[in-house]
Amino acid sequence: MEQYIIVGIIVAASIAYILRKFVFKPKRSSGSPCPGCGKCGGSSKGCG
Amino acid sequence: MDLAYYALLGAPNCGKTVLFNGLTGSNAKVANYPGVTVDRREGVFVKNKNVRIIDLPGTYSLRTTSLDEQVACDVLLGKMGVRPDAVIAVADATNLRMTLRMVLELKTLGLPMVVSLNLSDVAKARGLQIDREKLSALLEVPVLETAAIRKEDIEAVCEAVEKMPRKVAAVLDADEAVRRLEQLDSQAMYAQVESILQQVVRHNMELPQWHRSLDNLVMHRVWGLLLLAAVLLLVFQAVYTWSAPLMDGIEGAFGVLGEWVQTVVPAGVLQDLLVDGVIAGIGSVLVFLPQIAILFAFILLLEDSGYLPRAAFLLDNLLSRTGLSGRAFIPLLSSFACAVPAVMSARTIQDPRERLVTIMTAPMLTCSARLPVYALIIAAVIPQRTVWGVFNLQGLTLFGLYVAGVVSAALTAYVMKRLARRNGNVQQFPLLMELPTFRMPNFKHIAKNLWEHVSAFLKRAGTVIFALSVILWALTSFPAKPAGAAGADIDYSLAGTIGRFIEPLFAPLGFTWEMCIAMIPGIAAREVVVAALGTIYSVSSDSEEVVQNALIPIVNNNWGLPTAFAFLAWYIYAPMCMATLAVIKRETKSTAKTLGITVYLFVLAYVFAFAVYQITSRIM
Repeated sequence: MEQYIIVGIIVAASIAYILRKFVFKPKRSSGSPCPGCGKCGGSSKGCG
Repeated sequence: MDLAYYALLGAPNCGKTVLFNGLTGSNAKVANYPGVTVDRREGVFVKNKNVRIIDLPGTYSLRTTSLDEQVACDVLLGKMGVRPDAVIAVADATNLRMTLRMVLELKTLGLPMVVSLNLSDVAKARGLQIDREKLSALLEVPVLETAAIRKEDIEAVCEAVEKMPRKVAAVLDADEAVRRLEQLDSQAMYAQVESILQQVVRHNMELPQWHRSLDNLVMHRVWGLLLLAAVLLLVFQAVYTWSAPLMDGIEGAFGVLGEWVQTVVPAGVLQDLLVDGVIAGIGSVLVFLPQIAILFAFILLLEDSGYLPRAAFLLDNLLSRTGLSGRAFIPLLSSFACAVPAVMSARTIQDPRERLVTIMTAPMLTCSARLPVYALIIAAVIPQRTVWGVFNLQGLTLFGLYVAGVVSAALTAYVMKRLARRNGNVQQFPLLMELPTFRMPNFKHIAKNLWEHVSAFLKRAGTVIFALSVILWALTSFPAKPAGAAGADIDYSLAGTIGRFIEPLFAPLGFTWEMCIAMIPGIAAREVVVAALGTIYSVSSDSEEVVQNALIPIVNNNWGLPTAFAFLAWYIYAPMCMATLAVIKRETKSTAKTLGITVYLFVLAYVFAFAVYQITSRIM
């Protein structure tokens, strides 16, 4: 039973991670410096 | 406290990003060719966290012609992001003429400025003498002689930056600044540039004889092309020959790890997850890390030496027949690492049609994420033997796959050109690119960049690939086989059900349902296909057997040659990963174009994989 609980947590965390990474992307806070990732195409007005 | 912003601006390939890295402690990509930076990049100044340094794409003028140059101009005028308070104008000391005009343009904007005469070490070594004090007096701004790779010179720029004004009220609004720039008389500015050069340049630079001889060789239309082919062939041979012992070591280490987990974790669902899901999945991908590292090391070495822009000139004639130009070479070359920066680099292309065609064809060139897929199948079905006395057959096959990607991209570009010509929409822009001087590669910088690539791959293995392996293991393990039911456990799982549902679509290509399932997480990142196959085959068979047998022999035993070749053909064209799709959508600003590119690549992949499977299964 313990193994099933641990496995359940790992699988749920993995699903949450993938959803967060590819579906519900977190928005970058406006106070942080631009990391130059290029994801905003340079159009972000919030860098800084 | 208000932040102060200082922009680094200068001609392409004069070392702005090296200076940016020095001023901010960042590790942004640099290379010895123009057009590496195509976007605004920001970092915190190492000496004062309230000061931000902005790195901008290179430009020769503030009156711009391409999208990347437009980014530089828009940032400077405050149309994009925060308007800079001052400018660090970076000039290439070996080619001052190309930057002086822009420095004069900058002066009309009234922004505080310091000029960094970069590459001064190279200029001095080649006999060029510039009167720095005179130049400073003529431009009425501080001028520093720098070599951005030297610590003491970075320190000198830091001191100059610290003396710059923290917050400056806008002297001109953006519209007024644009109006003033448009009113500038180009002829008068060039005359002013020549006058300054006559007063400050004491001795002109001469390229050494070895440099000119090397240029004559690498730019020769016959010897140059042969040399390029030889260099590429050497790279792919090295990828196979040098990586073998390291790959064996990694494979062995994962085998030992799997056996150890089986001894310490009690038998049950957790042990299955760790052995069949995590170790089989991640191990299957990580085993190809040495090949990726060797490939990147060669690309970085060629980038840093100054050879690549010469290859671009060499291929300009060939590319122009397909409707592209040498300008598309650098973006297309970036595709061998990843399609995302390649699609972004297409901003340096002026012609919108050529830019779109470059974006459309870039995903056909083999990115590093596809290397594990190719390497797995080649290792499984191509014998390890020497042909024509020197060539490794597996290395030759890999080279052939890369060539297939290049030829496909060229043919696609040609078809696009013919279609565009029918609509009278073909313009050919001549290739104008400043050739950097050859230099000894900076091995510290290459090692640093290589580590960036390797650590990014390891990070992906520890995050996305780990998570997808776990999810795939769950899909292949649940629901469990009903008591007394016949067949393998995996046949009753959710993954089995989905795989068999998709299988008829791919059956004409010879793909099994396991391959169909593995391709789904591969949309997130292509190399995940290999991890997914590792997990699926691991769950399908006895765990102990999988720990002892790596994925390569399993593929060898389970796939026929036609299926393996069709899978390779599929991955030459296969629709790109999500990151590439997202960047195409952003760069084209069009959902229709993004969908169109996805569909045309899917159709090409399907048609070619179908043809390869049907032909090879009739021959073999």
